[in-house]
Amino acid sequence: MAVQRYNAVAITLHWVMAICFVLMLGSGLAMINFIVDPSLKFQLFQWHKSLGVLLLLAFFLRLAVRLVAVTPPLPPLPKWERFAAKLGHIGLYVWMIALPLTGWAMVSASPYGLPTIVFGWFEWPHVEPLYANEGAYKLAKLAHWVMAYIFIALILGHIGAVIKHTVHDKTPLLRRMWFFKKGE
Amino acid sequence: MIKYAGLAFLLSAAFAGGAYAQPYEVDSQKSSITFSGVHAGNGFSGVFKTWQAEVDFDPEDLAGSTIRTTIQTTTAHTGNKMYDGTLPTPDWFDVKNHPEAIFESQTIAHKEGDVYTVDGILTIREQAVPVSFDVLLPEDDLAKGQIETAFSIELDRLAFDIGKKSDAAAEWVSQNIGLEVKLHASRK
Repeated sequence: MAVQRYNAVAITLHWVMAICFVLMLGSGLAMINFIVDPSLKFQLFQWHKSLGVLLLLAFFLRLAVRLVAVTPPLPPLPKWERFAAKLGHIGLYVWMIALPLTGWAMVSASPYGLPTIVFGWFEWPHVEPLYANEGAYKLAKLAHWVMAYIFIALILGHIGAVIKHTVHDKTPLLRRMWFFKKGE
Repeated sequence: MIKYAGLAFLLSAAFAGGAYAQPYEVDSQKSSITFSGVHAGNGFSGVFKTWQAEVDFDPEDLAGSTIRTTIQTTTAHTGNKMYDGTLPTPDWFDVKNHPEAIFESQTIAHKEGDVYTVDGILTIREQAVPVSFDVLLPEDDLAKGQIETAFSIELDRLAFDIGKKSDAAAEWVSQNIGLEVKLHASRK
């Protein structure tokens, strides 16, 4: 019998990273839209950069787990839904790496030239060739900003699909991504 | 031959008279140059760990009195990784191209009582900017061959092109940066 759920490492990574991405999107939107107080804004920027670095590193762990471990098969679905699920998941993976990378490029090319000190713990280097490159900065900033909004759409689609399958198709998809016992 | 050249130099130095008012030896342990400003609403301060000063001061010969200070910008230290990582970069001190900041007095004038006004040129990043500050030098101290004083100078960082690209509007880093100098010196 095929496995019924993802392995414990994949499940943990999924949920921890999900919380982190919500925090990243929330802090990102707040920084550019609402926060005026420069002290708070600065702190939030540094915090956002720090978590971004950790998410960049976590992505590779997650990709490795995904490629190496056995994945539970999709429940019986119409062909187009299978295709959409596959495409959605690939999209989420691409965005999970593209967002930190564009953020990194942005910070590296930024005219501020501020170092990234990950939670006051260690210094994450800049992409040296981009240093204080105004063109690259504008491009990376635009890409980071546009991609963040698309990421929100992808996440909403992802959650929407789970709700649709659970409620409409009576397929308890969440069990694949939670620590349910085998007998259940 | 070299011996005579040395002797000639010493003699010429001795006879130059007024050009060497009263040379002082700066006590680097007790002296300091600190800087401070505001970043993102929070105050910060740092210190230049290495600098040298040549102080020649004689209240009877103000025309021959001079102060020359060389500050190693590479040694600016705040203790904050973020600031210390940024200060040496091209838009700030640009230490690779400008490892030194130099102050050279032009005139030292008696203001009132024990207060003297020093006018000079401060050069940072090759931007030479006139600065002026008052120094309190009590007569009693000078009579003992001692200088023990502190004074502050307010600088406009943009006049030196410091952080001009990053923050010309002083949105993050205050435009005014205070320089606090503590000087302890004794006559050579």
